[in-house]
Amino acid sequence: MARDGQFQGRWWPILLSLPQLLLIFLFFYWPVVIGLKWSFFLERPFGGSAEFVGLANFQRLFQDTEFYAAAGRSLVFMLTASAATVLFSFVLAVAADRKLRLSGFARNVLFWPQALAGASAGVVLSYLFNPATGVFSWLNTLSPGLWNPVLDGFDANILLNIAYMWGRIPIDFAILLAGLQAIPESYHQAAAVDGAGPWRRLLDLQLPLLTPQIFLCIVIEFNESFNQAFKLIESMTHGGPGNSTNQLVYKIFVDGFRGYDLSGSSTQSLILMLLFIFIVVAQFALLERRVNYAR
Amino acid sequence: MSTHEHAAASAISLKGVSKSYGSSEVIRDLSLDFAAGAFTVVLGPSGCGKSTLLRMIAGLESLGSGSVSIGGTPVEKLPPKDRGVAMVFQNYALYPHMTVLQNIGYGLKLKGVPRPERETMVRETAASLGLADLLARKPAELSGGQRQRVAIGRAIVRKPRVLLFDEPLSNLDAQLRTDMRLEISRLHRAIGATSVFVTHDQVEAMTLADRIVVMNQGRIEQSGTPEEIYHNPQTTFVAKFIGSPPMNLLEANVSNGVVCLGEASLLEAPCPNGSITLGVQPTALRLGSGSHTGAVSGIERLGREVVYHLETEHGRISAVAPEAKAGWNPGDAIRFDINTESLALFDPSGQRIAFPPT
Amino acid sequence: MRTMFAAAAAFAGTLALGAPAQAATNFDFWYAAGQRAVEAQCNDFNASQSQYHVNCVYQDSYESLFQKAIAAYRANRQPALVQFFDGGTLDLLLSNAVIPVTKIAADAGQKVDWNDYISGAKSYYATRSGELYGQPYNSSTLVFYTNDDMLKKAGITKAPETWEEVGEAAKKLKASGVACALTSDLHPWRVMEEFSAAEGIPIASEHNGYDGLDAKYVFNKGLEVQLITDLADWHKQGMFTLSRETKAGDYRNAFNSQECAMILNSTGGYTDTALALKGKAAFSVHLLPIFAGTKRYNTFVGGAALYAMKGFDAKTYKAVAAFLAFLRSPEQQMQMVINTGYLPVTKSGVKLMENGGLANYPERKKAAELGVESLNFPGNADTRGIRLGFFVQFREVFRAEITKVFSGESTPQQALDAAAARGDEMLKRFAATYAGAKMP
Repeated sequence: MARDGQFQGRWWPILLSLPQLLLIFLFFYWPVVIGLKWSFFLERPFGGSAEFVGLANFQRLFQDTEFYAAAGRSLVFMLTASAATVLFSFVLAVAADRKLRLSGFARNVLFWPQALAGASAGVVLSYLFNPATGVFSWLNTLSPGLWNPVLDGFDANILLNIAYMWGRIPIDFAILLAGLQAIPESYHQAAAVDGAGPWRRLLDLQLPLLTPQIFLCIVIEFNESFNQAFKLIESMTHGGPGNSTNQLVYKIFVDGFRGYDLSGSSTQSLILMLLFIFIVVAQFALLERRVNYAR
Repeated sequence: MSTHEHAAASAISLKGVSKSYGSSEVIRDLSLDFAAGAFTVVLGPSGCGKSTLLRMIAGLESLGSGSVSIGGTPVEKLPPKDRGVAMVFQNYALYPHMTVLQNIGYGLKLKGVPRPERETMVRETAASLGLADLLARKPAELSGGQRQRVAIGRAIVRKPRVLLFDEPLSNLDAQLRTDMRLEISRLHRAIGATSVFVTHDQVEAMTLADRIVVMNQGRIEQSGTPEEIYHNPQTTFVAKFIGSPPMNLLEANVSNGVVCLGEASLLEAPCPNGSITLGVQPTALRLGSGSHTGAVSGIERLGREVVYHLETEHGRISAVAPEAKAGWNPGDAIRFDINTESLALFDPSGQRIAFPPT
Repeated sequence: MRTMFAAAAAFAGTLALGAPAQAATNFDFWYAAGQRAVEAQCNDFNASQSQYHVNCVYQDSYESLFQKAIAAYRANRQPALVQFFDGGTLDLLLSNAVIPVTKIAADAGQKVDWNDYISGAKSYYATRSGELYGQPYNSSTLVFYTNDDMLKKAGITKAPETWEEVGEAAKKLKASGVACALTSDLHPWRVMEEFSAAEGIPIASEHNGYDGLDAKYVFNKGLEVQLITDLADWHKQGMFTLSRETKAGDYRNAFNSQECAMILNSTGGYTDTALALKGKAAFSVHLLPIFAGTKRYNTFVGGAALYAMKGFDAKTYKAVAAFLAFLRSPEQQMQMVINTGYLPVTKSGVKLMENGGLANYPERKKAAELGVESLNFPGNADTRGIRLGFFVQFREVFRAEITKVFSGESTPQQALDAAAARGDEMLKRFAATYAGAKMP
């Protein structure tokens, strides 16, 4: 039995969702299909006869140490950038929730970086963190070469993480602060009377009650850090120094668009997609079980 | 609880306490003592400052000025956990992510009570509250009454010197409320802590309290035993607040030492000429005959008693009559008389005029 | 990915400038270097006659132009003429997407003396049979820039000619308080390709790929190892600074702002530097340093050439041919030299330069003459050019690996070996991609 107010017939729903389906097909599934095809061919940049090579592209990739290194860098960045972003957002949100030295104005200011595109943030930050003139240059007066993101891969990755956090903290901060403020004051009072100080309440009360929001943030950050890494790398480090920031998303771009290796690039995209699906599924499977949704 | 010795109860003393939020004064220079082991109900309408008062005792609210001591020790600088108080909240404030067992035991855990001992204490407390079978549940899986019991359990398991109740029964239905009143009474006697119970419900106050403190606009209107408060309200505010239905307050005149209601002179009183407020208990009206008339505008049948609401030339009057007298219908005109022996007189500022002079 | 290419091509197409003149044959030209100079040439061409009209579309870099051209070609929306850079030469030769400019000219009935092109420029873009695929356009070569005021202050009176002298100069500069004596971005064009040519040593087997697709990289031995080792040592001693370590963040800007005293840079950068240092400091350009005791060979021509893309009718190619002929003229070459600092690429162009074509620009003439001199040193089979597949991608690989030397992750030999090994993989893949294709 159809409910009142619902369209009757089986064609209406299809017809109404057609524009959306068309777009998804055109801009997602069709490229995936093309990429899948290219993964089994050696595709010439300007087209023309493509050589079917079976699994050779995959074989080549699985023998390429740089591919593993790039995938590893992607994973490490995902973990560090997500964890650091959520952690800092949490600290800031807790501080804001306790009205610690944070005026309403400061809370607004915290949200502004969100309005800046990732690429522009990258440009701004690479100047800000220039080893000779940037904010960390004083580190080099303590010990020369202590901070040198253009030469030191570790520093470059720190820079990427900072740039990522800078752009992402606002949204997580907003989500976590909203979550904290939704915890009734009486829980805090009850816990205070029970003998819990502020730190104890943070651990026993706020943290468990905030798990849905934290989980949401982690999921968002895992996805975002994977994707946003590209524009930050492109605007700041170009994969360097010495490939130290050459993550898989960037490598795919460079291989495909700079190196005209369309087949290798497609093959890596395919693997990346599978990897990403796996990560998201694993994330839900692992994290969701530990989330407190009841309030 | 009977297997445990009583925790020592502590007297609470407030001296010159004030509290403001911005420009609005919530508590005004209030001094009050709560006797050790007594059950005191702080009664007042919402916004009168009674909850703030309770929170200041608990340490959840800072003092504007003045001092608070519990058991003779000044506590205004101490955090809640060091004051030896426990509190039951209006919305229960049970930790939603913890089981009943964990909720009740949380305070003990923080105090460092070892797990086996803690569990024994929680189980005994839970058993005394009829919660023994619910220990593994989370608050969302409990009924309102069960949550209330858990909240109480959480407060009493630590055997506090002071037990604070912040309108704990207001979210319950009528039947549960009656049960819980008795339960709380029983627990208070069993535990022997100094209990302070805040409510806007005068029935709770009358039934629970050793002593009632009526508050209005940040000040104490009157404090005394339930009987004193009921029979001798010291202000029109208290008179209006206590009793169901409350005391009738009628505008009267005094001329040459005689109190007159309209044309009829009621009694002699040594008052200056002018207007005066006459307090008449609903039970002090005799219906069926007399020198006054009123039209029945509403009838509340309460079983053994019937409350008649009458429209008279002096205003609306409520009268309680035994059921046997219940022969009237809405619209009927009734004659009635006022028993002058239990009248109260209030001056135009609402203060009780001592009468009859002793 | 095809959709992405198509979208990029469509976007690039909408950028086409100018409304076509009535009845004129109209075609698009995409370019990525020398925006002001090229625009001026386009306008001059369109004004000089009414039969043909060229729409010149600026793309912001060679790399993105190449990407867009690939996308456009696959979507059948390519321009008739494009400017492609040196690194993509073999990719284009095998692409089956371009028509040799010699054929374009012949089909249009033009009689062109292609041997007028100076040999270094011709050999880079010609097939083995000598047929030019692309018409050499903005050409330059690598030279050595010195800030003579800074050198003088450090007590250096003669600009270094050998790498040994560069090292000594850098030491003196550092001693005189210069924080950045020498800087480079480690781009292989600057620290490997042109260096190898000047030393006459091969980059890859098969004479840098000219003789077959089965070439292997061989730069990872001998003098190249020595150069990278020297640079790494100097870096440790504070005598060599990486481009991105400078305050300016870029080797050219660092030189033009007098932060650094010596750079390796294209002759094409001469005008910018002259403008930046005018009235502030004296600077000069010199032949690329070589190691003491080695013989000097010609350097490669750098920059870009013009290619006609397939897919248009004879009328359009006639218009393209007319535009190419216009650009070949010694006068137009002179315009390019004046406006940019690129080099004349034909003997007649060089002759015009010597005979008063740059009379009003004595300094620019000096730089251009130096560049031509560098290109005209006697060569060998390994200094004709580079015919290596996926070479653009290889440049990225090379730079990434070499950077590891300066962060202490790799020794020079390890880094060069790694770059060569990864490069060989790419060459193998390129050969497989074009299996059966004939090297023209």
